Amino acid sequence: MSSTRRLDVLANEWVIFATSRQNRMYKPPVDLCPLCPLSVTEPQFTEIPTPAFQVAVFENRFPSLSTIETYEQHQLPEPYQVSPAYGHCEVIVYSENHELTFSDLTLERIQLVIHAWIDRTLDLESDSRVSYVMPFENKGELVGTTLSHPHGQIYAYPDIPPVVAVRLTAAKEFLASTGNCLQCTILTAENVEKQRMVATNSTWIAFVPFAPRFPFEVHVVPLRHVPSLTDLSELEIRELSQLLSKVTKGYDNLWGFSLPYVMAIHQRPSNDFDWREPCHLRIEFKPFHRSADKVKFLAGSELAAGAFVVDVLPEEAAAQLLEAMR
Amino acid sequence: MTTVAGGVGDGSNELGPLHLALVECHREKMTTTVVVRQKYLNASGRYLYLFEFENAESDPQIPGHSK
Repeated sequence: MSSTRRLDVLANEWVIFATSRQNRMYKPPVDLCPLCPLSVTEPQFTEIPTPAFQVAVFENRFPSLSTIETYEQHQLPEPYQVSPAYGHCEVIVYSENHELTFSDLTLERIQLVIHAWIDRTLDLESDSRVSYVMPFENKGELVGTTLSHPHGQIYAYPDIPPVVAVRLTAAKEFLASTGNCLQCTILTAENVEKQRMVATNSTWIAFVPFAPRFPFEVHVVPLRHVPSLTDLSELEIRELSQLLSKVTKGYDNLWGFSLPYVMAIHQRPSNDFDWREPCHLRIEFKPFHRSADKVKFLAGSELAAGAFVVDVLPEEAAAQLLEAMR
Repeated sequence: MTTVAGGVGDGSNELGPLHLALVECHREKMTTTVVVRQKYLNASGRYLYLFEFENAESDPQIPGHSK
């Protein structure tokens, strides 16, 4: 099924139209779950027809981006533009157990998930039409998850997506003006101040950023200048599993329920070595809650103006998270 | 890394009733473990990748949840 992109000329940003996704399964019961193995779900429903598995990745049956490029090209008046939404959409399933979440995974299983992210990044980057590979996870109903089985997604975009592009441009400009990596400079500052730091080990640091968009946002960043998942050492993979486990467990301990979040991996663009110097790998967690019973909604100022208003100081959020991680 | 090519669609590597054909198998030896990646083609022409550590522990189970 092909998807298309239309250019929002007011913002100069592409918008993806994937109408086939309207037909995807919405919160099926466990015996119809497409992410459970054969031992649990009906054979005709599973995407992973094997009796058992550890980590599985498959091409999404309802992709937002597609390598199939069949669409009718109409003559459009100025200034409109439309193009195929080329790319890849994969689903990564963390476990065969339907009831788990990321925070329940063993360190060994998280390491295998990281190996799968690396493998898929390398493979998807080998497509010369792919410009950016982003693994991410939407966890919980609040952020729009349609399947409760523990899983994430991996998108391979035809160009650098807008939010990523803004951050990469900032990093490139900082490098040009100071000669230093922006993220490395941030790590130095966080090590000096320490009041937003929530976890660390010999190769990684997790902290609430100085100016988060969401109150309990956490960034997990390698201490070494690593541009991409594919550059991680074995030690860094092992220690990343520790911090990802600690952060997600901390979120669930924060208010005593499984906290919804969007997790995304920011890495260097594909096949462009100019980005290796300014780009520093970063894993961002964005939970939508601002307290146990209140959610941060994106409203007038955020959606219409792009000016975020945050209700909790990051230093206070970090103190609460630190306590939840003990 | 070792690569073993499978026969796509020849039936010799099918798994389960949905005609999953093994395309290739990679074994990547790390310092303390081996990561195995198997690539399959399903009946609708989409790829499925299974990742495992050799001799990995099984998933933790939620109390009260039976499969």
